[in-house]
Amino acid sequence: MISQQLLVKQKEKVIRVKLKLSWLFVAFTLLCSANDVFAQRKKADYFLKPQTGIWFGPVTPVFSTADDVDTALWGGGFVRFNILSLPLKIGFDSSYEHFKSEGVKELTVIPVYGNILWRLPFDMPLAFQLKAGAGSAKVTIEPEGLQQWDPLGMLGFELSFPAGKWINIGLRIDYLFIYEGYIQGASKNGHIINTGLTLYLNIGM
Amino acid sequence: MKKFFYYIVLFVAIVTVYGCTGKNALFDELSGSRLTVIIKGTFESTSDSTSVNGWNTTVPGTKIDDSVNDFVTDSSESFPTTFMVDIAEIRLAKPDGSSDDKVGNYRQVFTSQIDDSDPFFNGTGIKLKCDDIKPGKQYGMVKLYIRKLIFDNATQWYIDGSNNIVQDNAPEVIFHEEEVNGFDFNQLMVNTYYDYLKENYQDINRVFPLEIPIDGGLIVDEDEEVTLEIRLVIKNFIKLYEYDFTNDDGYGAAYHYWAPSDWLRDVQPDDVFIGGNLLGVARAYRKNAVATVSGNTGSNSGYVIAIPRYDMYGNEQNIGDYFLDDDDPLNWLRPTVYPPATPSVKVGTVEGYLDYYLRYEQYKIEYNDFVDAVNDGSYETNWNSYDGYKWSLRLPPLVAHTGTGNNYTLTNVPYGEYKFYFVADTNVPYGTLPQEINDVGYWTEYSLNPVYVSSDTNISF
Repeated sequence: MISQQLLVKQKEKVIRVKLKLSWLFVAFTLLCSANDVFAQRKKADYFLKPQTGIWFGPVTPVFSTADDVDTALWGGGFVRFNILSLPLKIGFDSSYEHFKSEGVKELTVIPVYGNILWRLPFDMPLAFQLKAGAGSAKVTIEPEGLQQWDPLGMLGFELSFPAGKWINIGLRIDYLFIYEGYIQGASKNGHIINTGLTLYLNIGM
Repeated sequence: MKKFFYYIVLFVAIVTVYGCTGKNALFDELSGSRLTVIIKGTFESTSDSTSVNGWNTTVPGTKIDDSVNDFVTDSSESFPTTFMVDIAEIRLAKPDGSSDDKVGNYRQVFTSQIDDSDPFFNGTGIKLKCDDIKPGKQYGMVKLYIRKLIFDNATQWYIDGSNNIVQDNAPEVIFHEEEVNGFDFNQLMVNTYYDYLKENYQDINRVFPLEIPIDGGLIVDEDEEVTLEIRLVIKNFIKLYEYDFTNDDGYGAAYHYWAPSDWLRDVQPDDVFIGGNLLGVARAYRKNAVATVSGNTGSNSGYVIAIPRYDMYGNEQNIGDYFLDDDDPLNWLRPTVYPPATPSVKVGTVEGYLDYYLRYEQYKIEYNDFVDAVNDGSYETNWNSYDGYKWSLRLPPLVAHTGTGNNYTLTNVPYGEYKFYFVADTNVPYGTLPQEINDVGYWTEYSLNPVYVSSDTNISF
């Protein structure tokens, strides 16, 4: 008698667990699909709106520039606008980068440039963007204390994802090429790779 | 939006074109240096310093310091053949040592053969890696952060139970991450004897950095190439010392090691520290504004010394600003009041203990005298006076030694007014420098001093 009652109770328990699992599955499926719908919509939305933002991260001298100065932590800011409805944006970017060395050498670079960004056509919540740009950089060196503006070219890559209606969060890798080859007697150019965490603010949502 | 697009493109174009106005190759400037630093181990500044004879062969007596007392066994000592240098970094500072810049923040290691064929000893010099310096800044001191200075051919001795002096294994030291035979005398250069008498001696370090004055100072303008020559007096200045200790077996033992002469600050038996005897001078010159001065010194061989007529502050100077007076009993000789050395048991025998107790009685008497000297103030006064006088030594920036036919050549003499002096070799025995100001006939002044050097010049005594 007692064992029959136990058997019934066990069966009821199994049924309750199954029911819970079924509801969990339904809830999970709904959540996933809802999230997907939501992300799809946001992705489409924010990319077509103007954006402004800031970034922060390691700025690394590379190639010949790496012989003289060391990596530092700096950042910058940008604004971007869409060109019609194409997957292209046009941006304006600037930053402050101050490099020190173990000795007396110091390098300060303030790049000011425009760039064009192309979103790669992947149907995902993450946005992948390639970018290329040109402008100038104010270069200052120590201990000589010399400074001047040099032309600059850049290539870069970004990925970002939405974190709410107003904000996107992303990662960026930029290569900055500071050109001095046109100056008489110059044999070196500047090479910097910027990597950083980026915070985008979607304007006009 | 289209209009806006054009504005941005226009802005970028303007910014890019504006960037093309630079005239300086900044990245080349950043990696290059206007400053060349060379280091030499000679008292001479000339680019050929090979005329001093017999400096690297053993001559018993003159090359063994009088502080070597407990383990005298000249038979087994041989002159070093290798000099090893390990420099942590180089800084340049203002004349008072403040505001230093890390111009050579690189560990630099080199080994020199103790021979006239080696650039460190023959006047060529060894180039040290360095960055640039600040244009327009008045530098007046090189700070050389020395990690190790090693001569090979050090020996180890101990007194065994039968009171015999026995030679032990040659001392070994780590140099550039490898074990080498030799002794790092730099560790004993950390304090002068007087520093060691002070309570705060552990806060004093004379080799990290070694402060070397730049005679005449150093200022660069933009686009100027400057050479900084650092000279450490090593050549013709090496002596054998003794470092006493008790070895692991409890026997009295000693290292015999080679280090720069104690000509300036006497090292006495049982002293540990030999600091203040690593003498250096630095000078700067521009390669495109130097001349060669040459001539003959008559019947005597010796050193030709040139000093600038004016110092970096515009004050006229003469040989008295460089030379000291070794007849000055108050300042030159080491004061005789200092704490006596604590005796120790040298040998664990009855004789050894008796010797120890005898020394201990003597120590008590000496210590009482020392207390009296401290109380009447003579201890402090004498030592301060002695120490200050020794630090006032300045080595001349331009020195040449005569060669064949008593001819000499002073190279890389910056344009300017100089006073020339001559000191004969007979006045400068091994392990000393030409420095005696008051002895009549010790030095000879060039009759037409001062001389303005603006091109290659002949000056004969």
